[in-house]
Amino acid sequence: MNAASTKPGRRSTGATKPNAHGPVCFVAGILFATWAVYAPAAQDRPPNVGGDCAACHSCDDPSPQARCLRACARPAHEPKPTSLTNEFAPHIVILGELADRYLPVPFDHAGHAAMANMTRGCVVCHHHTPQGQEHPSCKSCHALEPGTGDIHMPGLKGAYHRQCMNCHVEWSGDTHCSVCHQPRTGGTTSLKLSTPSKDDIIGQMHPPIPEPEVRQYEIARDGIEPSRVLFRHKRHIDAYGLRCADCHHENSCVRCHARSNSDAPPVKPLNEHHQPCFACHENDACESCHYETEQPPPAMFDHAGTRWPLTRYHREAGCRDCHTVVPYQSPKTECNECHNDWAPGTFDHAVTGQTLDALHVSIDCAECHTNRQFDRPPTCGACHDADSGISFPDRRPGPVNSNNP
Amino acid sequence: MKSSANRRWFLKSLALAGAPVVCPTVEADETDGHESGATSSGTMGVLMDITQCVGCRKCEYACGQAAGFNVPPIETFDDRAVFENDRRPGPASYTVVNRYAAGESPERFVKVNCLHCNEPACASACLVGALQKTATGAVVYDPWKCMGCRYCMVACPFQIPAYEYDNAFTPQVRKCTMCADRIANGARVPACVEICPKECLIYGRRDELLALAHDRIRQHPDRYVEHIYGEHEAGGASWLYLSDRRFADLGFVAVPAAAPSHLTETLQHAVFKHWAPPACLYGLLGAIMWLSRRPDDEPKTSPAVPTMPPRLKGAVS
Repeated sequence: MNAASTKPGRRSTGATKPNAHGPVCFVAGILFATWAVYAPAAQDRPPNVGGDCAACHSCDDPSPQARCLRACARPAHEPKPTSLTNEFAPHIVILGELADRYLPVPFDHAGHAAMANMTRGCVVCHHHTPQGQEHPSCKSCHALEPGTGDIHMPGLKGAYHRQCMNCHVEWSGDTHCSVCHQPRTGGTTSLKLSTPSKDDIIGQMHPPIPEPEVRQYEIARDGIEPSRVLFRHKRHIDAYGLRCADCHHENSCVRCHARSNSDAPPVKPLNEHHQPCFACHENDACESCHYETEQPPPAMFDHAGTRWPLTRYHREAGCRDCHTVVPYQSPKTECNECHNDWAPGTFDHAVTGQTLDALHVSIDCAECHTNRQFDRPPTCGACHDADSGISFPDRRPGPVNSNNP
Repeated sequence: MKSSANRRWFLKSLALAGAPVVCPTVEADETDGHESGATSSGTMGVLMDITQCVGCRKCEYACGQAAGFNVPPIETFDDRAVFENDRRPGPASYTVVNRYAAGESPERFVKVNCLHCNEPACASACLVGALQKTATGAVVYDPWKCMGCRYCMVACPFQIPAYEYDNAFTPQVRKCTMCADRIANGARVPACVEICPKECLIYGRRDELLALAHDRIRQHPDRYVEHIYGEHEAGGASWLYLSDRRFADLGFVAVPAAAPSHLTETLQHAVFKHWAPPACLYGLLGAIMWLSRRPDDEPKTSPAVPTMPPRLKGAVS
């Protein structure tokens, strides 16, 4: 009896055990299934914003497929930024929304994008770009007028200046407005800045870069005879009035501001090396730049070799003053090809060595320089024939400057 | 005998009449003080994030413009030589920016101006009510009430009020007004807040600013020290500071959390409570009269007819 009583008891325990485990397993299964279904979504679950769906979503019924997230993130809601590519990123961006006191700021977007790639990429600046959206403009979140927006978020002015200054202050410590801004004076805008280019950025915003006097390149490549190229850097800038970006137009900031060797720019291919020179020296022979190691470098370009030796004013002129087209071609040698504004009243004839007297100064140029050949002295006999009684060269059309040729 | 009774009656009525004259004013002051403390959470204020400031000093320029001072051109504020010495706000500048450099760590800049205390010691010390804490949070000054005692300058724990010593005839006490006039005329924010390029200065309701500041400290415990200067200092102030350095290293004075005016006001209000001074004064006078009375002055009987002075009595007889 005793054993029998215990046995059923045992049996009953044994029978109830599966019965007890059954619901537990069932509930656990349901819980697991629920977790399995909702867990991935739970990671993306929106934060608790107090039931204010419109704080983040622009549509009434957002779904995982169509989230219609607003661009402006609430403080509690930091959307994961999409990985932007700067493939189609603009080169120059004009920041002009706040240009009341100052002129618009031309911002070297491409250069900064190159630098941003060294750290976290585009999201360094485009910090609140919801998934699946093109990056929104700054002013879509940051209030234009001070004191009108959310105090948790800086206004547009603060957002711009924080983005720029937080780096620039560490870089140069310079907080002058003029580092980026041109002051707006008297309501006039500078033409240069109203149509900004990368030249302006390098020319106006970059701290002065020391220019090398000469650069000597050692050329040693497979299949090429080792040679040298001497590039007279300063001479090119001075003589030809070049600006940095005329040659360095494809340079990004990382060329100089690389932080480690791994960030160093890749070696340029051959044609990229030649490209800046070929812009002018396309038809020149290789030997005009390359020379053998033992030999002296080729002499500088001598304009006299073109049968047009440069004298006086022409020597001071930049190449592009006469050679307007690149690559350079021989311009016509008539004076009025370039000096087409010269007229009897505007040309100081004394610079030629022959000052004109009152009688001759008002005569049209072509009256004496027949066939408009200004490069050679006119023949007096064309006007003054022997019958007129005026002899040549006893009486010239005015005093001769002895110190002039 | 009757004359003595009259005098007593006169004194009694004088005391009764005089006490309300003194006491209600005391009580009114007291309630005002409590109100300003209670509503301070709804007042406006400015939060300065010291970690953002780059020391451009444009706030000094904008402040001078708004206050009507004779300010030099804006370019002159680029001069960083002024940072060599610590400066104080003066009668011709409501605010100055000071630089604090410590070794290799980056320099920090602190904008110094009136903190607009919730329970301003200057207003408490002012005998004539020329300084008042307004409902918007600003502590403003009324030159027409000021009598020039300069107690406010002594009372201020931050040594902010400045006196126009060079003005012989109409000197004023000068200090930041949190652009109370400007904002009353429709401006959204004070001039310094408006011009600040990095928006290190945020103008808003003090309780919201405090919440924002606490949020920032919580979100970036590595970036900020866990202290909001102005939250509790001197009973709390409308102007608040967030910093990544100890405030003691940035020229901030350590001020106890209780408002400086607490002690003095408590004492004075306690003394004047329940009409204590008039009661004591006239009680004392009464006691003196009682003790110094002469026995023959005391009427033995109450005569029905007035007694004639002996001098006159003789003359009549």
